[in-house]
Order: sequence, then C-alpha cells, then structure tokens
Amino acid sequence: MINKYRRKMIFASTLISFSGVTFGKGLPFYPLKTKVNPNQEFSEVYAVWISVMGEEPAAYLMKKGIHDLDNKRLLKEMSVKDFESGATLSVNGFVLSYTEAAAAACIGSAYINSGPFGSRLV
Amino acid sequence: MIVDGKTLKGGSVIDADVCIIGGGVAGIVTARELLKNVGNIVLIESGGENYSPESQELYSPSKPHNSLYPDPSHTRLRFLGGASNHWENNTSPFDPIDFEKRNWIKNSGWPISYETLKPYYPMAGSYCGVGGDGYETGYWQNKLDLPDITTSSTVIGTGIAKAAIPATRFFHVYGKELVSADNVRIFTNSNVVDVEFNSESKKVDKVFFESAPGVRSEVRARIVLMCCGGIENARLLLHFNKKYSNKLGNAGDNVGRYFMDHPMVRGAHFYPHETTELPLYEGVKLADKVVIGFLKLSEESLRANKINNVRMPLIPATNYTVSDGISSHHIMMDSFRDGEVPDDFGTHLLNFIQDIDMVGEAISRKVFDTKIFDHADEKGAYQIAMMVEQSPHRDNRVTLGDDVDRYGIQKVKIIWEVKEDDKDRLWKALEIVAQEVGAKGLGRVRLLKERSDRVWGDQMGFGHHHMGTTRMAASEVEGVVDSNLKVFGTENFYMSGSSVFPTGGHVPPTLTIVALSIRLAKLISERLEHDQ
Repeated sequence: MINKYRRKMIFASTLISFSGVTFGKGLPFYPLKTKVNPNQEFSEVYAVWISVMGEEPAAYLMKKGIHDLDNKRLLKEMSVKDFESGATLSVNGFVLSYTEAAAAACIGSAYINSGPFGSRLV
Repeated sequence: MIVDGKTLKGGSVIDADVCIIGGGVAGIVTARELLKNVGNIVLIESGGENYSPESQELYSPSKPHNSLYPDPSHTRLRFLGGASNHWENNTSPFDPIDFEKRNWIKNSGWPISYETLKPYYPMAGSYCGVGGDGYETGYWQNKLDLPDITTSSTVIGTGIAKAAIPATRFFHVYGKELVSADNVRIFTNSNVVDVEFNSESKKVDKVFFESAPGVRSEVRARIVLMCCGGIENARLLLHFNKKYSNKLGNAGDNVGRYFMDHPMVRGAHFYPHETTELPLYEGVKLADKVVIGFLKLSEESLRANKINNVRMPLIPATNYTVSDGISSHHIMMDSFRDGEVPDDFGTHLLNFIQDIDMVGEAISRKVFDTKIFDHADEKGAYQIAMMVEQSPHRDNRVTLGDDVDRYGIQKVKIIWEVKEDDKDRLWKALEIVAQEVGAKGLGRVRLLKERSDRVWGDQMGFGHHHMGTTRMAASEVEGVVDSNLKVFGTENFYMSGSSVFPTGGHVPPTLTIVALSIRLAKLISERLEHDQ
C-alpha cells in the first residue's frame, strides 16, 4: 500500500546524502542515469523550482560550475554554502538548498518528460 | 499545624507576622523558607489536603468561556500543593535574554536580570526534586557521555530539561515539615474573600476568609503575600480593587492584563542524517530524574533575527502521528462542516488517497480501538514540538465576568489569542533551524506551514502556564508589583508566582517560580528583621 510519508522519508534521505543519485558523464544532465526512480516528489521539486527560480535547474547548476552530479563532494560543499547563506527553497515544507533542489528538480524534469510511453532515462 | 477552616464558627481573629494566601508551589516554598526566621506564619488554602469537587468548582470561569483558550477549571488544582499535584515536573531555567528588554517584543523586559535570580536556581532545582547540579549543556554532555549535535553551531544550541522521578508533589514532600512546625498554622477550606486596606498607612491590615458562605474570620498580619496562581492572583486583586478604587497595584490598569501561556506547537518534522546521534534528545533516565536535551536558538541568533525565544524538543514520531493523509482528512472535514471547500483541496484529496492506510488505521483505532498496520508505529522522523514564548499583549487578559461563585466573587473571564506576529516569528525561527540543520549536515527539516491553521488551531497544545497578570515592572504605570514583588501603592502586600512574570520565556515556569519565591522569602525575612 502506498504511504506518502514513507516516500517522503526516502525523498528526504536522498536529498540529505545524494547517495542514490548518479548522472552520466560527458553530457551533463541529459541523458540521465539514476539509481533512484524519479517520482512525484522530484517532479514537485521541479514545478516549485521553475515557479520560484524561473530557469531550468540544469542551467542553474551549470552557472554555478556544477557540470557533473557525480561530484558529491562539490554538491555537498555547494549545498552547505547555500544553507549558510540562506539560499534555500521550500518544497512541500522541506527546506532544501538551492543546489540540492536544483539536482532534485533535474530528476523531476526527467520524470515529467519520460511519461508512460517513452523515457529519456537511460 | 493544620486547622480545618470548617471547624471555625466565624468571627475568629488570627494574628500573624506573615499571612500567605495560597498553598501551591509558591506558597509552600515561601512558607518553608520563612520558617527559620519568622515567628508566626499563617497559610490560608481554599482547598483541603486532597482534591474535592466542591473546592475545585471555584475555579470554573464565567460563561460563556473563550473558545480559543482551554477551560481553566481543571488545569489548576485547588488544594494543598496546587498544580504540583498534576505537573510533569519539567524544569529548566530562563535564559539571560528572557529578562531583557527586546525592542522587537513590545512590553518585554524584567526589572531584574538573570543574574539576580541565578543564585537561587540551584536551590530551586533541589526543591523541584531534580538536584542542584544545574542545566549546563556541556556538563550533562560529559556526564552522560552523549553528543550535543549543536556544538559546532553559533546559530542553534542545546538546552537541558530535567524532570524528577516521581514528580515532586510539593505538599506531599514539604507539608510534614510545615505541619509540624510550631510557628506555622495552615488553614484549609478557607477562602479569601476580601482584604482591609488602610489608604493612609498603605497597608493591608486584614485578610478575610470564609469556610462557608457567610462564616467569616480574619487574619491580621504584618506582611500579606498572595500566591494563588496566574489567574487567581489577578482575579482576587481585581475583586479587592473594586472596593479600593484600584489603589492596590492597579493605578495603571495592568491587573489581569498581559496574560500569557506557552502555546505548544508541532510545526515541523526533523529528518536526521543517519550519522546524527540523538540519544540526549530522546531523554536519559537516571535514578532520580530524566535529563532531556532540546534544541533552541542561540541568543545571538534571537537578537539578529528579532524573534521570540522558543524551546524545541525532538519528539520521536511514527508514521501514524505525522501522517499527511490524516491531517488532510481533518482539514477537509472541518471545511465541509462549515459548508466550504478547503484551500488546496486537490492536494488534501491526494494526501488522503496516497495515505489511505494511515487514514484506515486512524478509523480503526478510533472506532474499533484496534491497530491494523504494524508500520503505523514505525519511527522515522522527529516532530519539533515547540514551546513558544508568547509576547505580552495588553489586550490578552483575565478579567471579571458576570457569573459569581458561591462566595459572591465574580468568576474569571479570559480574553486570549495568539497574535500573528508571534506566529510569523515562530515560522522564522523554524526556517533558521532548518537552514542550520542543513548547513551542519544534521539532516533536513520540513516545515508544516501549509497547514498553519491546524498547527495553530486544533493541533495546538498548551503548557497551561498562566503568566503575566500581575506583572513585575519598574513603575505602577507599567506593572502591578515592583522588583521585590511588592504591590505598587502598598507597603506590606506582596505577590508571587508566574503572575509576576513580565514575559514567559521558553521553558516551563515552575523552577523560576520557586527561585523567585526563595528570593522573596529572603527579602521578607530581612524586612521583618529590619522593622523590628
């Protein structure tokens, strides 16, 4: 049976560690590889991100010099800096750093674009 | 000795050096501290040694009662020991900033500082049964060998709370000493109904009490002290002042005003990182007490962000207790009952459907008293259950209603609400905590701001800490009692208890009530000695 709370737990722990997220190298963000199934929470992040930030999350990350989401150390560093400077975004109440929100929004974007009849996920 | 007021036939005249009205925590502590130095102490208590509906009924408010505030009929107890007969014994000292004038909190600022009360806190801890070993976080972190997750932060910190096992019932623990003392007489079932105030000497010469309507006796005392609690102190003082044209501390129309409680708000969930260790925050049981850590904002952060103090214990939460589906169900039902469709109806409906197992669990528990799903009780997150410092607003007040009790005294009417600025500051505090938790890699925080109406509505709890109604101040324009707890406009009339708090801090008030009472006993002893 679906339990939204437990899914939120997974969502939160994913964001905390980035441990389950990997992306293909060379072509940043697309095509996208992920060990985590993109799901509704991540698409919610994408919707909030676009609504608040007004630009694609991938573009934001690249502007910040993040070209490879496998670089967890850099992501964590950037995320900590975001939290310290108050660069945070609230998604369904979750207070996320811009960096992790952008990363999650990238996954959400892929989820939205995949749809039931085809996937941009590889 | 104990004298049952019902045995008095009326017309008795009792002499005393000090007359204490009220046998709760403040009254008992003050009496015990005065034992050594004062020759003749009388303590007048409305109730007896145990609970009685007859006495308790005198606490009922005038009808209709304010729906925003809990009915105070049973949140206080009207017999010897007072509210300590049902308290949880949760103790922590106020912070230094709690005493300060903060320009972002109107009417804040005590006329005494933290340093004034600091010497009395260790003894207050002993009175409360939690020992005099203090609340210093580093001390407890080392003693218990448990990590303080906030050590690297200047934004958040860890506070310490201690609760005695079993809870200290003050008359049960200290009553025997008072009863056996030669210089103490406790009159039970004795309801104070009036005082005689001499406007020339500015002294309360007599205290009148009745053991049954019309069966009246009097106490003549050099010092009169009221310790009846945050609501009753104001009620009686308003009652006395009807006869004396507000000369008893009410020149500034402050009696009963600035009424505060501690709203208890579960406004966020904390998802700890897997490496974040929280045993200190879940509580450690020692032989005689429980020690529990709680999150708080540093004083530096409170100042920089202009927010009220707030205590943030971490309460382990299950899937059931933090279910979005159950919460959305309540929001939808409340709206439907009012003939409305709730805001974000689609989101609530989705929550309801996606979390249908927890909704089913709730129905099963409520209707059949049966649990269905094991995973409902699995722990995954922590609720941040905040005790909020409420700003003192002049229009939050205890006043006299239309109904009267059987002694002819008007019952209380309570006007109270949480103002929007306090709510805004709480959300701001949580945002700061969320950012710091993220910055320090402790986990993530989810604010429940989208359900603010419920968080501040039917889900809001109360400390039932009645404070502020006879506030301490530098002048009678701003308050009711001076820094020595003497009622403005009088020479021998004092008050103690949380009614004298100008602001309520972020922790339960009892430890500070005890500290103030020890200090007051010292001041009274010195005064009596000086006067002789």
